[in-house]
Amino acid sequence: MKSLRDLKIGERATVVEFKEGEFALKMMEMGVVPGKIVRLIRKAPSGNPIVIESGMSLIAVRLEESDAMLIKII
Amino acid sequence: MILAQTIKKVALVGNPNSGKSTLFNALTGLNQKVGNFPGVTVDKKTGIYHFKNARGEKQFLELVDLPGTYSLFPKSMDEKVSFEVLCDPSNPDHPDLNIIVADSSNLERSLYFASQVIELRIPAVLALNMEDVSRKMGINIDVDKLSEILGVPVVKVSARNRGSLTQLHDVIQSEVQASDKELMPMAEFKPNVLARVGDLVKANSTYAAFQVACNYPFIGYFEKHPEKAEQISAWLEEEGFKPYTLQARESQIRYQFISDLVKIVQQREERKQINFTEKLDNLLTHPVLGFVAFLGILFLMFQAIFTVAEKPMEWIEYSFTELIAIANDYLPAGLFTDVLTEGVLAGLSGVLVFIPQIAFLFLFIGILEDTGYMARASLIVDSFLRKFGMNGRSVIPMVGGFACAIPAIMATRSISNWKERLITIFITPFMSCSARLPVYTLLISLVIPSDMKVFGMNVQGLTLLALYLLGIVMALISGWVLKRIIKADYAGTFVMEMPTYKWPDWRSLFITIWEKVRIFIWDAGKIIVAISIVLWFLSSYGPTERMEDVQLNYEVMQNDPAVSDSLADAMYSAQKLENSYAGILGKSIEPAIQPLGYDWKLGIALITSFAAREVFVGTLATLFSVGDPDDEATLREKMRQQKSQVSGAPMYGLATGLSLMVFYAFALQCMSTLAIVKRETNGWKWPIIQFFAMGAIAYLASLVTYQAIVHWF
Repeated sequence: MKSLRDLKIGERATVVEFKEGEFALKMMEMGVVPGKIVRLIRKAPSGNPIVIESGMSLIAVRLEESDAMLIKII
Repeated sequence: MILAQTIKKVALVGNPNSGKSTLFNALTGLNQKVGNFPGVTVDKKTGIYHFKNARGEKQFLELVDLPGTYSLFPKSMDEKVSFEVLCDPSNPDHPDLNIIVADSSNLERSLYFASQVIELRIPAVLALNMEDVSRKMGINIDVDKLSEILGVPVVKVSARNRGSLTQLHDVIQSEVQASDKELMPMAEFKPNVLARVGDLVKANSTYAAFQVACNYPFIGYFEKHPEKAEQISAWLEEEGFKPYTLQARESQIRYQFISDLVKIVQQREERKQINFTEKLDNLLTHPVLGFVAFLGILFLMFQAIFTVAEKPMEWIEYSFTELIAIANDYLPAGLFTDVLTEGVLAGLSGVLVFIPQIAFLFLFIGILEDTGYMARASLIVDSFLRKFGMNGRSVIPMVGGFACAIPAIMATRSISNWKERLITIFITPFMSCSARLPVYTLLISLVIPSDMKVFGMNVQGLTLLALYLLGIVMALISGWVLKRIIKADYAGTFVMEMPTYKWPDWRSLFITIWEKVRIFIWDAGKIIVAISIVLWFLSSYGPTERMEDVQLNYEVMQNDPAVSDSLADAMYSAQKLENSYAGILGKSIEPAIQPLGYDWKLGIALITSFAAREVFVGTLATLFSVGDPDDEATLREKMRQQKSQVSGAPMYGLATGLSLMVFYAFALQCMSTLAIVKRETNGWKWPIIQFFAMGAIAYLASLVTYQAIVHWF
């Protein structure tokens, strides 16, 4: 299964599932729930954190934490 | 009697960036006060909100602004506070009515938290905020339909447009009921456990019972009722109730419900518009231009705090000097006048002088936060600062620390992760603040010749630059070390919403600045005035026989025609300080500071400058009998002439000078900083640790500096 690390800027992916933890709850409460489509918008100059778009929201996440989110690239 | 009526308690709840604080400021104006929620350093803003009802009578409501959160799940300190207030009916702040603020330009996300709060079955009103923004985006929301489905009144408001608030007033004064709709199929969440938990804690609704069942270990209520917590724990065990799994399941079901709901109530015209936020983000988070913009903004902010704040600071100091002179002229000489002028007024001056810097720093921070730039700045520096135990948001306090650590430390509240916030508070005083400048300039001009050059660069200037760098490096090293020492209660994730760019709401911004200034004056001011009275006492009083000798000596000098009156006065002040308790203390620490190259005079100056670093210069001026404390050139000359009693070499040479500079770069010589750290960490533990840790670093670094120069050069 892929994670956000595998996404190139502009690419879209479907959220498949989360590994249990705080990151998962945090993302889910912000609307990034399994089944949702997200898009990688940009990366910070050092490549980390990254910014994804979900619905109307832009959300910055740290790569290491985002490994808990498994995705399927569209 | 009308006044005896219990005033309704209303809570303002909603997501971060939903314009909740702006709405709070619009509703309460200056009738607000900011404090802490009990036991934690989470801002508690309360205010009185009044308006005229339909019959023209004034109505008063007590409004509390709960921290902005995305859901009820208590994961951070902020969320825990909101959770306890909303879910525990015995909480003193538990509201009679909720005003749920939703961002109409991001309805889906807003409705997640909103629908959770509605299901707690507390009377609620849904305020669709930022109506103006969503209209521009072509978003149209069917208010009646939304109200019907959620079971609560829905009003469109725009916090920036005060006229739009009347509709909110109309709804609030009607008898608002709690929603009777069941939005979530609670039957799927182990209803028999929930029924039992609900009975046990007298929850308002099945959903409230669900929240309690999932999160009871985080609720303060159960600390007082451990037997109930054990009971719940047993039930959950028995029924295989897994909080995480069920919460995750709730999120999914709830978002499904909301996405269907949004399809019904929201129409969006397809408008081809250039995405302003995305374009600006391309620039502001660009690998090169992003940093150029970032440094430019920081430079501007730094300049403004440093230079623009200088004038008003001078006025404040000048007014107090005048006030003290007037008091001395008109009040009878004696203990009362001395306490008033040298203790209270001097202390007050020391408090009020920080106001311009605090106001300017918070003006800038407010602009950066409200426009949405802060999130971008945090994004580009996060990975660097993370190595040192901080996060992107630490950058503002760090830069603010170059002007003054006090507003900088107050600004750390925006860092939601407690550990990262604590580390930022800890390392901010290492940044070279403006109060160190007079100390540095005196010492640099004392020990480094003004015409000395290296590669054509002035060495005096280079030394000053080196001192600034020294502070930054020590801040980062300390952060790196603290990251490995401090244990965190909450691991904390860095999931940050990037808000769309907006113009700041100036009225709201000025109210915020006013509140920050007030907090500083009330909370830190008390401590500062108290310490300055103690310091005044220590440096004006001494053992009786010593003071009598000083007095006698003064009378002899006054009668001596060879000694001018001003010289006699200056000598008297010097001797008085030397024989005061502070003087005796300064002399008694001489053995401890001798290895750093300091004599007892510097010892006294170290003690008195605990009030504030710049006092160092004034104390030395007194000890060297320089009549005018601002006459730096004379002081410098007198210090140059001092010879060491041991070697006969100049007492204040290069080694001592550099050692002192290093000491002031590292030591926490500032009672105001300690007072504000106490407030921001909710106790004396951290300021005391910080004071001794920084003192130890300063001592060791100065020792190494002095000994190295003496032995190798």
